[in-house]
Order: sequence, then C-alpha cells, then structure tokens
Amino acid sequence: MTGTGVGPELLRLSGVSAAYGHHEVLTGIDFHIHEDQFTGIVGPSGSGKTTLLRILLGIVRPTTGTLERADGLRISYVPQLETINWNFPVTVAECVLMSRAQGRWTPRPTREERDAVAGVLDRLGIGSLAQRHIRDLSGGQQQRMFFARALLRQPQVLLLDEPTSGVDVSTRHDMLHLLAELHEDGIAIVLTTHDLNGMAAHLPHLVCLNHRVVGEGTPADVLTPDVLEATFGARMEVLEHLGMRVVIDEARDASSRSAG
Amino acid sequence: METLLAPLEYAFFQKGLLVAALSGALLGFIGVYIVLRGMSYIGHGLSHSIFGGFAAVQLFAAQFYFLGAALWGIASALAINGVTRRTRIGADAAIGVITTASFALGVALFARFGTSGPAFENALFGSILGITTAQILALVAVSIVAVVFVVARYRALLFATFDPEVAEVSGVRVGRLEALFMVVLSLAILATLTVIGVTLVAAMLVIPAVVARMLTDSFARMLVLSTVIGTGCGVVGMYLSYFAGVPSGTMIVLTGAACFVVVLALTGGRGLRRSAGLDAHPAAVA
Amino acid sequence: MRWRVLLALTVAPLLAVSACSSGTTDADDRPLVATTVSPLTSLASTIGGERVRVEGIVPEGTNSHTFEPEPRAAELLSDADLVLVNGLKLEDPTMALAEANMSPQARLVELGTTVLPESDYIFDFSFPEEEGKPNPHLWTDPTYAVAYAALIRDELTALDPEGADYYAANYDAFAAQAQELSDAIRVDQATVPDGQLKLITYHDAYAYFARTFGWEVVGAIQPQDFAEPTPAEVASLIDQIRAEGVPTIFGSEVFPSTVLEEIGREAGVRYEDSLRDDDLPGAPGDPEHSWLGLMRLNFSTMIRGLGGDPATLDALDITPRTPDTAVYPQ
Repeated sequence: MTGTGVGPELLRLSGVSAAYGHHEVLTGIDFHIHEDQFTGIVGPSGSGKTTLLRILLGIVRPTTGTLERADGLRISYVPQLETINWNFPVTVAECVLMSRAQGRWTPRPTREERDAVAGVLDRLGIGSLAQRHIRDLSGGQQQRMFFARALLRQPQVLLLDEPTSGVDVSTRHDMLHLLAELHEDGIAIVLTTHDLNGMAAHLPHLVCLNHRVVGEGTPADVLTPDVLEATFGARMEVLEHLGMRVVIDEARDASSRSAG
Repeated sequence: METLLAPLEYAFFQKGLLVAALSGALLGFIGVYIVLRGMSYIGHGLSHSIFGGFAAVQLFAAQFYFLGAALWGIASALAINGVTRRTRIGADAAIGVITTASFALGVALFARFGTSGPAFENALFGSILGITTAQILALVAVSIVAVVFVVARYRALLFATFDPEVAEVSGVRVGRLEALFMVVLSLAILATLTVIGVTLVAAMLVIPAVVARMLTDSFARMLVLSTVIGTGCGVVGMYLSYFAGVPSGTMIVLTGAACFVVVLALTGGRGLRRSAGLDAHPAAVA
Repeated sequence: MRWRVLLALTVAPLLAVSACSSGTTDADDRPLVATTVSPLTSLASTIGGERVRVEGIVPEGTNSHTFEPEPRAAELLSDADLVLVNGLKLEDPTMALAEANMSPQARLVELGTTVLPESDYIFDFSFPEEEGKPNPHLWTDPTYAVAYAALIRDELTALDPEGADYYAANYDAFAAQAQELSDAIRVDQATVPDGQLKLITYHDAYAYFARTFGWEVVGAIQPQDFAEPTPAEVASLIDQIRAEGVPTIFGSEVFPSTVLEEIGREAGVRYEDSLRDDDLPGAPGDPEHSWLGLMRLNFSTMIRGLGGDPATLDALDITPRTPDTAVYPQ
C-alpha cells in the first residue's frame, strides 16, 4: 500500500478557490490524483472537504483555478448516506444497475448486466439482498450497495464522502479492508473523513484541510499536534501505539457529546 | 351483462371510456415521477398557469389560444424545473410561485385588454362526454411520446430522479433529461386537460402513483402498477358514473380515492410507511 | 366557478384603479340607474333615454348565474338612485351587495319577481324545484319584456316625475316594436315544419318564451351549478332527440359546449352554436346592440335551424327611438 500518488496523473486541481456567495470555502488548492492514489481528506466540519470532492467530481465549479482531467476518465462517487431518500422505491439490484444508465435504450437488464450486478454484490457480501428494498438494509449494507453501484462502472477513480459516518466499528473495519483491496486492484481512491483514529490513521496518505491545505503526507507526517491544531483549531495530544498514531481529542469528544 | 353493455351503445360513452382509460394510464404512468420528485401539485399548478398564455395570445391572435396555452405551459414547467434545480427552493414552492404568478398575469391581461374569444374554462377544459377525434389523436400521440421517452431513457431518468448528483457524475445529462421530461409532462397535462378537466388531471397524476407505491418497493413494478391502476380507475369510474348518475370526472376521482382506502386497509402500516417518504427530501449537502 | 372567484379577487384592484378614470362624471346630475345583465340594461336605457344614466354591472359574455360582482359594482350601487335587477334569484350576490351599499333613498326593484306571479314560476332541467330557484329567464319572452318595460317606466316616473311623458312615449314606442317582434315570430314560426318547434339548448333560457309561443323545450345541457352532466343524462338526451326528431340543437357562442356538439353528432342532428344568452350583438351604440337586436338574432337563428324561414324577423326595423348611451361593461 503506497498510495502517495505515483504513476500517471488522472486529475489535477491548480490554484483552485471556491465560494458560496461571498463566503469563501476553499483557497489556493493544488491537488493531484495519480493512478496509485489512496488519500484521506481530513478536516473539521465546514472546512471545505465536501466542496473539494464536489469540485473533483465536476459538480461545483471553482471560482478561480483550473480542473484538468485525463481524457475519458471514469470517476465513481459514493455519496453520504444522509443525502439519500431511503424511502425511494428501488430494490438493491435496481439501484446498482443505475450506473449503467449511459447509452442504454432498454429498461430490462441484459444477461451480462444481471451477471455483473450479481458479481459485484457477491464480492461485497450482499449478494443475497439484491431484491430487498434499500430501506431494509443496515447502514453498512447501504454503504456497500453504493460501493457496488460505484464499482459497476469499473472506475479509475473512486471518490467517497464520509464513507464511515454512521456505521459500526466492524463495518468500518470491513470498509477499510475493502478500500485497500480496491486500491490493490488499481483504483485511485480519495475519501473525506473526520474520523482520525478509526479511518485517517489507517490510510497511506492524508491531506489536512481547513479552507486551504494545511498539511499533507503520511499519518506519521501530519497527525502531529501542530498540524492538527492548524487544521482543527484545537490542541490535541498524539500517542503512538504499535506504530499507529492515536489522537487524543478531549475538547472534540466533549463537544460532540454535548452536541449529540 | 346486458346492463353492463347498455352504455356502450352510445358512441360518446365508448369515446369517454377510451379517453378515461388512456388518460388514466398516461397520468398514472408519468405521475410516478411527479410523486417521487415531490411535485404532486404540478397538475393543478400548470392548469392554472396556462391561463397566462391563453390571455396573452388573446392580445394578438385569439384563434391560436391553444398553442399559446401549450407553449406557456411548457415554459412554466421548464421554469419550475430550473428554479428547483438551481436554487434551494423546493419543487412545491417553485410551483406555487411560478404558476400563481403566471395565472395572475393572465388575469391582469384579461382585465386590462378584455377578451374576444370563447370563455376560458369552456375553451380549454373539456368534458369527457364531448370528445373530438382530434382530441383522441392528440392524446394517443402524447401517450406514445411519453412511453417512448420514458422507456428509452428509463435508467437515466430513474437515476436522475433518485440521486441527480451522482447521476450527473455517472455521465447522465441530468439537466437536459429533466427539461425533456418537463416538456413531455406539460404535453401530457395539456392533452388530458382538454378532455378530462383540471380536477381529474390533478387527481390522476397523484392517486395511482401513491397507491402503487403502497403496493410495491420496486420502481419497475410501481411504474407498471400505477399505469394499470390509472387505467382501472378511469374505466371503473366511467362505468360507475353512468349507473350512479354522477358526473364522470367526479366518479373517477372517487374511484381512485376508494382504491387508495382499500389498499391502505389491505397493506396497513406497511403501505403507509412506504408512501410516507414520498415528499421527504434529503438535506442538501453543503 | 372557482376560476370566477379567483378572477374576481385578482381583478378587483385593477378595476378599482381603472374605475377612477372611466367612471361616471360627477357633473352629470341626471338620475343614475344601475342594472345587472345587458338585456336589462338595454331595456332600462330604452325607456330612460337621455333623461337618465344607465350602467350595467355584469359584463357581457359572463355567466350571470355565477357572477360575483367586483368592487366597482359596490361604488356604482352606492351612487345609484334606482337599482334594477331581474330577481328570481338570478343575481343573489349582486343583490346582497346592493342592499349593503345602496343609499337609503335609492330603490331596488326586482323586475322578474314583481312581474311574474309565483303560480307561473317554471322549474325545469337546469332549475329544479328542489333547489328553490325558478328559471329566471323571463326577458327572452317579449310579452314579459314589455311588462319589465312598463315597470321601468313607472319606477322612472316616480323618480323623475317631470319626465313622465318622455318615459311614456319611450315605452309606447318600445311596446310597439316588441309587439312587431312577437308578430314576426308567430308569422315565421309558422314556416317551421309541423311538430318541429322543439328546443334543445345549452343554456336553459327559453322556458317562458316557449310557454307563451307554443314551443316545446326538450332539454338543456348546462346544469345550474356548472357541474358536468352525467353520462346517463347525455344518453337519455340523445335518445330523446332521436325520438323527437328535432333537426337542430342550439349552443351558445360564448360557452362552446363539446358535450352538446357530441350529442348532435351522435344523434345525427345539426349543432348550431351561435345563440347568445346575455351578450348583445354588435358593439355598444350599434342599433342591434339592444334587447330587440338580441332577441331578433336568437329567434331568427332558432327558426332557421328548425327548418323555417325567418324572413319577417330579419326584415324587422329595430332602430331605437332614442340613442342608447348606457354603459355596458365588457
């Protein structure tokens, strides 16, 4: 697992800023996605993580700067679970098949498509749930369904927005393994997370974001009290345990307890 | 049996039955997308909105009132779509603003410049008991366009309705697709408005889709069921109206409502839970 | 009907503004007579002539049965010295508005209710007895129109005694013209083939006329409350038309009815859609823009449609004795 971004460049942001009205969310961002990328974007709420993802996806247009993409680049996106109307009448199979929407003129899936859907669902361990309604799935299963939908397009780049929010510890664990596996298969991965210990510390490459890039590198490089203070605006302690960084965040824990 | 066949001796009833079935099918079919996008009010809204076009056309070429109303309806639908997508204004609010403004503009034009043509209601809101061949042909044509469009772009349309952002990222041209859908929708509303009237259009755009939603969790099945339920309500309502001595439009709406109640009783909480989220929109991501 | 209410609500402010510019001039101290539908406005103007100002309330081509008066009407009613309505529950909202706004000295006269004894009320398809509203279309019968005119003459004389002779002369001239119209109808209806004096109309406006002149009203398709007819009603009307053998059914120009058109097609009879209910032919000021002009046009259309020759009606002189300067809202 290298993930630091070698190999051909697929996507590049240069000097990008973004604003909603007069409220500037991102300034002077330079960001590259290489074939071998496996990056976590960390930062507090409102730091521009999701906006950065949306710029990479082409949904949000930067106010300044440029976005360059390799020709015919296939990007897949796994949105946050909270953005979805889970009562929408689709089954898991119907949902996964959506990503074969382009250039299709018949509603019925072909044999090849049915096999592909079954294959990707099996690989993600939810093959038996194909005919279930999406609301009847657990959070982890819903997340996997979106993975399946994203993978069905055979993407070169996979972007994920907070893939571990709202899932339990074992699901998070599975998710990490799955992402590592996909990365091994040659898919470039960029995700956002605010989970420093459960997610960020396990990734090969991190970008710390607070409206601008505050730090970049391996967890050992950036999960330091100084970089974290610049990112989150609060002093945190960092321990080392079996070669892994563990961030102790008393203020954050206290605030999240009182908020939630 | 003979009593059942009695009304069929009349050509007006045969045509009424055909149109009730066809309108029910068309509106039930397209209504699935309307209900799932939280635009249930659009049938009622657009029927008001076209008054603006009707009044505007009276100023220079009264005989083209139908064309004026049609173009105005399409423009309103596109405006609603644009406002909903580009701003954080919800679909129902956008419908409320645009269609009432359009109606008021029509009223203002009428009040200021008067009218030379036929009365608005009589000109645009037809009766299911008095149908011309041209109206049937228009309805058939629009139905074909709607089915071809929805079937051909089935997955893209489903993706765009379910999750427009990811659909866009996955290569679906959501903006263009939705604009096309709004044009087809306006045509469907106009074609049915002239034969079955406002109330019935508004009802048939919503009731079959909601009932179908209570019966299934699969989108494909919901689409088929809603079409079948729309057709059934049209045919049964039309028949009942003959024997009950109640106006046909009223009876068709009542049949739909009865269908809703029966399905609700049969599916109980499960059906309710399914239809509960029809108007819920997930929070937009900042 | 909802449309009308919405329309009235939305139009109100606009009309209030325009009323300021086009309203009656204060310098004019002639008595002001407010009326409702345009045939009544014409009758009032015919008798009142140049000695009074006459202003209508219901715009021509509006459904008077469901009409909701606008604020402009309240202003007119509060200024009026005499308010003439048809009554027989035709213009209930306008009457309510009149009672609320009229000056204490002014008089409200229900022409139809005064002229027609209750024993002569007609209830029928569009005006069923259960609802308690008799058919109010008295003025389409020339004999009742003359009775209206006589009542108007008396009311105007009471209001303006100096003009007694003037009003009497206007009335006499009108009564003579109405008599000529009646005579012409009788002459021309005799040219209609035997047993064909049968009417099927969209708007149920000829019940009293039919009784006086010996016609038969077979049916009317527009229910009072503007609801759609039921399929069973349409079916029975088709059967009836076939059984009666009427050659033509009549619709209204302002309210085109696809249902009546369909009935005509299916029963194999002609559908003539050019009758006029309340809107006078021509433009205000034209000789035919009057009660006489309206009735001549309608009866001529009916007689021609039923296979007769309305030559006498068409040749009738309908030039009014005094020019019509009444205000007809459009």
